[in-house]
Amino acid sequence: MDILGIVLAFAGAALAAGLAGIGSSIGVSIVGQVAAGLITEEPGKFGQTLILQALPGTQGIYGLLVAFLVIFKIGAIGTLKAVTPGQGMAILLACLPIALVGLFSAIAQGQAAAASIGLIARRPEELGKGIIYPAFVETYAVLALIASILLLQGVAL
Amino acid sequence: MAVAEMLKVRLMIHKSAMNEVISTLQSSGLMEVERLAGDNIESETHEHLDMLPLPDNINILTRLVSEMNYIVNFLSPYAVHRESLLDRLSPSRVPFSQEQFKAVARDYRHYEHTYDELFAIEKRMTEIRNESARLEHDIEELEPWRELGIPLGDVASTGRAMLLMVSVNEKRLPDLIAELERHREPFHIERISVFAGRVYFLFIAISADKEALAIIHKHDPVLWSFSPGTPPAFVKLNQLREELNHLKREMSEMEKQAVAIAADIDTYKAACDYLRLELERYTVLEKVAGTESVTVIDGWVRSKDADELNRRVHVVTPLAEVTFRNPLPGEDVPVSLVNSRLARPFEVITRLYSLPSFRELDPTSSLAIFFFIFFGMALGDAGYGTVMALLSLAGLRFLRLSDSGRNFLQLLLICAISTIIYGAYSKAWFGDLIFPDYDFVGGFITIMIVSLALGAVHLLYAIMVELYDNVRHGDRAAAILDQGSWLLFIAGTLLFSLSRVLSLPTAAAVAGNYLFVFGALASIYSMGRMQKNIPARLAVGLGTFYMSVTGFFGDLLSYLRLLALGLATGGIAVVVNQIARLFRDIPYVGLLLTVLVMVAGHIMNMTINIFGAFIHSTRLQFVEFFGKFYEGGGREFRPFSAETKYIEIIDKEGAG
Repeated sequence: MDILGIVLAFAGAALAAGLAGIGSSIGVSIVGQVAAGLITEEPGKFGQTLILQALPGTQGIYGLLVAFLVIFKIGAIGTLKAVTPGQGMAILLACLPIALVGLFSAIAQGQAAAASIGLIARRPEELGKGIIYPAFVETYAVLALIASILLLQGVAL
Repeated sequence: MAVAEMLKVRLMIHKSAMNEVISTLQSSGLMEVERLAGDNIESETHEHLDMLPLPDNINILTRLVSEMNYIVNFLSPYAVHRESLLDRLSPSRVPFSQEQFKAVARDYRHYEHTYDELFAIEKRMTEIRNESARLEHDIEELEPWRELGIPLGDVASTGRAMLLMVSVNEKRLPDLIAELERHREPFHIERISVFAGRVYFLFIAISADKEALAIIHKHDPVLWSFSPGTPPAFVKLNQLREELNHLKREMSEMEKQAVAIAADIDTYKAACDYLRLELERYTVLEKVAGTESVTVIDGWVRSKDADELNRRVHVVTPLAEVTFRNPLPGEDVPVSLVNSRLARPFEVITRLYSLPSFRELDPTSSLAIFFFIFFGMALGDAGYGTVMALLSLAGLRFLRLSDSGRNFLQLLLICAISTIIYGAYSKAWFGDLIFPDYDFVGGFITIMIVSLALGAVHLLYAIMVELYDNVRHGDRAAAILDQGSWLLFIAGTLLFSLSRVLSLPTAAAVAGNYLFVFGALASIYSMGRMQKNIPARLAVGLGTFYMSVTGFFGDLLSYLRLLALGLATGGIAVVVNQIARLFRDIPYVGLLLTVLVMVAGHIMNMTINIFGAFIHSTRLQFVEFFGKFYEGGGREFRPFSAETKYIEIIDKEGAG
């Protein structure tokens, strides 16, 4: 069995889950810090801030999903399939859209959501709009996820 | 289906009946009272209308209401039935009968005493908290010196000997000692203790030895001194602890008092509500004007309630004249939505964005069907749908809910049904728990096409709503030129591209080509038609056309999120099951662990994805759908009513 192919595929899965996870954790933390500040003044807005804080969390899940798709594809749970270095490289590259876009878009989304915390601090009735601004950012994570999945589908093992 | 028709209403009543009429208005909850002033009054009548003098107890009432609010807020943490998290999310209200409500409210003046009492308790509690914090700080500072048996106030340098209380970082002590030893003057270090990484010691040297002092200062020390007369640390520590315990006892005494008072919290809640209703009545009086014998009340009423309002007023007094008229153009009309029972829960979504303005279409029923489908696809697991349905049914059955809370749970229930249908179709029950052949990536391409197709339908529907809206307002030209040509172009594009993929009849393909070209030209013409000269028309038309085309496909791609969210739910659910099954072979506890991992994993996955499905289905409405035609910005119709916050009147009076 060619170990290099498997190693490359593993690297792809690790990057997808790892980078997107890092992005989400930073994004969620940015919102959390701002939200905690607001809660000291107005504890009643906890539920609203929770929704905003959850928004940048999805990139991590998308990354994890792609990682699992790779794991299933190469049979890492159960018996490993034979993966040539070329196929391994293709899998690694397929993981990059969600890994990179996940990383940066989660941070950016966190910043947008933190700004929305400022919005609901003064105008709690505008929560709907406050959710929409950060949700715009997520579009690109969704597109990257689709790209990663399509690319992965394209790798024939 | 729509924004309710409204009528402007004017009540003219004899002053003797004013209070009764206002009470009736409040209990019937049909009319929104508007301030009678300025532009609302024809100038000739205005001269006869003086604003009524305010009743002098409105200030007292305002104060009482804020005091009662304070009492309720202060007491709620001490009430015996602590509010659960669920209660906080949707506070349930205490049932009261009309009779009890009035009885409770009658002696509201006694509650001022309670307010003073609670105010004193809270003040003392704050003092105790500050005092305790200070004591704890002192204790923390003294603790390291506990083993030093001499009175702390006596530690001082003499004429010949230097005596210092010092603490330095424990790691730096060896360096300090080494340096002092190199300095070759007599010194002594008496170690007292080590606390949190710092070593505390007595330093003794010759008074004149300035160099030794300099060496100590190099090692980032803290030099301690206590005021003369301070007893030994252990004695002082005992004193402080004693004081602290005393304060703690006092604190729990205060809490006991608060708990005792909180036993009557329902009474205070009722009184608070009663006073608030009174205050609202007085606020309405502010908006009313009158002559010496006639009072005039202006406001809005739903057209369908007009007769009922007229009847109720005349039940109270025959000395009344009620007139209605249609809203004038440009008038700020409050908005009330009227939807079928099935669509009503979706008003939650419309409100989240903004109410339609009075002259706009209510988008609720249009978005309802799409939201229903989108949510089901985005969550897409029948197991999760079932759990959601059961939870929302339980909430509807067992919680006392406000109208908006009820609407929200109904919305969740409807969305759960959509999820069950879609999940059952794709065999997703908690991932592959029930059907082992469930393949969450299998239908990938199909779901992608379905997502895009749904997106196209949604976007086309938006254009048609826009078209309808233009026609409704009599702007036929805009309807035909803006939306009509654009629809032709899109239909042409679809036919054109479908004919490449599928084998359509030749006629359709040819029609597609012509539509495509004609629609494009028509769109370019209509988009540039506002410009003066031909080059400008061409440039603006082409530019706008290009932006619209790319915008349309950008919007279309956005619907791929339905695919992505569904995949994420399914994928993580399958993985939860796989991981859980790894535990199955552990002897004895294997099955238990498997079940635990599954339950925990699925709860997590379900929560996150319900959230995601909701947010993204909403987003597709707000951005892709509303963006085409909807502005919002309406003002909610808020009838003057007897709505209570904390309590629920269980035997409402029928006729007021």
